[in-house]
Amino acid sequence: MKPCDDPVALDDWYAIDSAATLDSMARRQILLGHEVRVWRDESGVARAVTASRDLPVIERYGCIFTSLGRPARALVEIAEAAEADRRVVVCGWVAIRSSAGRIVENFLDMAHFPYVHTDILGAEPHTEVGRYATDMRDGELWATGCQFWQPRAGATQSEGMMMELSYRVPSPHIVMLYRVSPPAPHRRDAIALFIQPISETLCRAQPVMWLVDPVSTHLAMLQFEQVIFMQDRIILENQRPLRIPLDPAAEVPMPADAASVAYRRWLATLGLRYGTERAA
Amino acid sequence: MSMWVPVALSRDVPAGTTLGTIVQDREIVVWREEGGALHAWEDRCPHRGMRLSRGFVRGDRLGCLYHGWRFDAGGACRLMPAHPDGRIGASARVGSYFCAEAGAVIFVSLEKDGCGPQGDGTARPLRSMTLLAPVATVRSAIAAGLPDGLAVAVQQVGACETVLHATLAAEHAGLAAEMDFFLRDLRTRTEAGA
Amino acid sequence: MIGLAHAVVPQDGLAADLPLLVDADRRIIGLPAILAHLGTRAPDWLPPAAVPWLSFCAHAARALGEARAQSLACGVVAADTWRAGWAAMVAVEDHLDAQARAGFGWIAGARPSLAEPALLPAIALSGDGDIDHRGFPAVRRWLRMARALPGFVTMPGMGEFV
Repeated sequence: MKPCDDPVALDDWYAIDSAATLDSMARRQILLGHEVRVWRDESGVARAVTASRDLPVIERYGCIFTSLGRPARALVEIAEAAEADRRVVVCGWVAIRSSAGRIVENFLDMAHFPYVHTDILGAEPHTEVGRYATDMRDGELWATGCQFWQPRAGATQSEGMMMELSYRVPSPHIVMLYRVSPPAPHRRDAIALFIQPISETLCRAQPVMWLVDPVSTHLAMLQFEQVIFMQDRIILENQRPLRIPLDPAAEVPMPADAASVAYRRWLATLGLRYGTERAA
Repeated sequence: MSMWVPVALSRDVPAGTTLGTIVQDREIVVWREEGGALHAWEDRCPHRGMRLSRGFVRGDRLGCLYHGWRFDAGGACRLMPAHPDGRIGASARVGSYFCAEAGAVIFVSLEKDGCGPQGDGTARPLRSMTLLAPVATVRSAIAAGLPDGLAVAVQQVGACETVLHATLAAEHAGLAAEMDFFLRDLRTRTEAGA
Repeated sequence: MIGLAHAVVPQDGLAADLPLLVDADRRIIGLPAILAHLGTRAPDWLPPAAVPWLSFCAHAARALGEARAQSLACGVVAADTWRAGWAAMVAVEDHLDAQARAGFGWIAGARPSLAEPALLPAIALSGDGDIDHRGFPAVRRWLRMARALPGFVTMPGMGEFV
């Protein structure tokens, strides 16, 4: 596996392990084709090194973040993580044979809900995706005003409702979803997906959720998200090419793909090469 | 030289089903309308590259599993469920190839071939069997001799993966169990060498 | 599917092979014990002919599950693990093909039995572990028939349309 030499990919923060399971026994992770060892030192501080140097480490959001380069921006701020009354569910890492860009796009997409997450996040005939807005805010990509009819929006729900959603992509390898919290409609649940590219076509990813849900067991919330994730994995591993195409002519979008189109344009503007298919 | 490649027994792609396969290194989906008509297409939805072989058949349309895009028999997209009243551009179409059935076997050709595939019209399907062995190894094992009445159409799927689509002449139909035993032994022999 | 009231308790771990069945006030752990229990509650689903097939199914499910677990954890399946999973799939295919030739559509005979739920999840999800159904037409036919059984409930990774 060729180590990444794309500075756009290297100069960013990546989650590579979980805080709760990290101990003094060093674990070997592969980030962007580079081998990284991560462990907790005697004072309990998380450390990460390559063969030749120390790496910066941030322990936040249930994860251990590091960088192989020099990130120009701070790690994403997730306000919901500081709210003490939320249920925090760190869902576990799953390996996916796909590129980070494809994984982000799948997370941003609503039109697949009735087909991939049938009777959970969507169901025929409620397949229409209305217009929504995309824009850049402070260097982050947002999709807002999204609406979709969901049979079971969350672990607490057994009846359908029209769900309002927003999406946020704070950096190319982190994507977030905000949705109205069914038990507390004046607040929003926040779900983040942290992606660790191992190679251009193999990633690990971990969802972390901050939910307003006083009722569900931890296991029920976890299982709900895992079901969704496993269904998406089947899609991701069956898309060709594995790398995300950045040439607008390579694939055929529809209006519901506004967020995906904006995301691809953004990656092209950033000059990201790693994990992408560019125009010939 | 015929460009027809065997990909399945007709019986194994019943009406309303899809099958992903490989023809000359290309990923192909073979699918059968509920009314029986068979198609062979590029196994890739033009939208986001999802394998159509994971999709679903409704009537005479193939639906992509990812977003439900519905394609007609000619490969043109006729419905995008996210925009039920929307206009559909001409680029929303799937590349199609040629397929034909002969002697209980489905054949695919990537190019137009004047002659159809050859097959014994009275042959009975036996089974399709995947061998983890290179096609050359399999062909030489077959060349060493097949029992009377057994016919085998060979499909190369990968460097070390070959599929045999086996049929029986009608008058030997009672020997199916013996023929299956022969094929399983062939599989063991060819995989051992690989 | 079997027509019994039951509660399936979610288990942690994506590759957990420790399902838990709660039936009235009894908690039953592990697939073999669950199947034996269901067999006592619904004897039609566990005729004597089906009993020997339960361990065949358990072995195949374990081999396929191991490949799946490795793929989920690191995206790669070790060669010998994959071969064991493939061999299990071949054994299931050979058996179902022979059954079909004899006029039987199901693992243990002319009717579905507990051998079906014993094996179905592992087979349905085998693609997660890089063992595709494309090379196994008898397995595909069996999956289609199983999906048509009354009370059949889809589960993660299968979807309505696959």
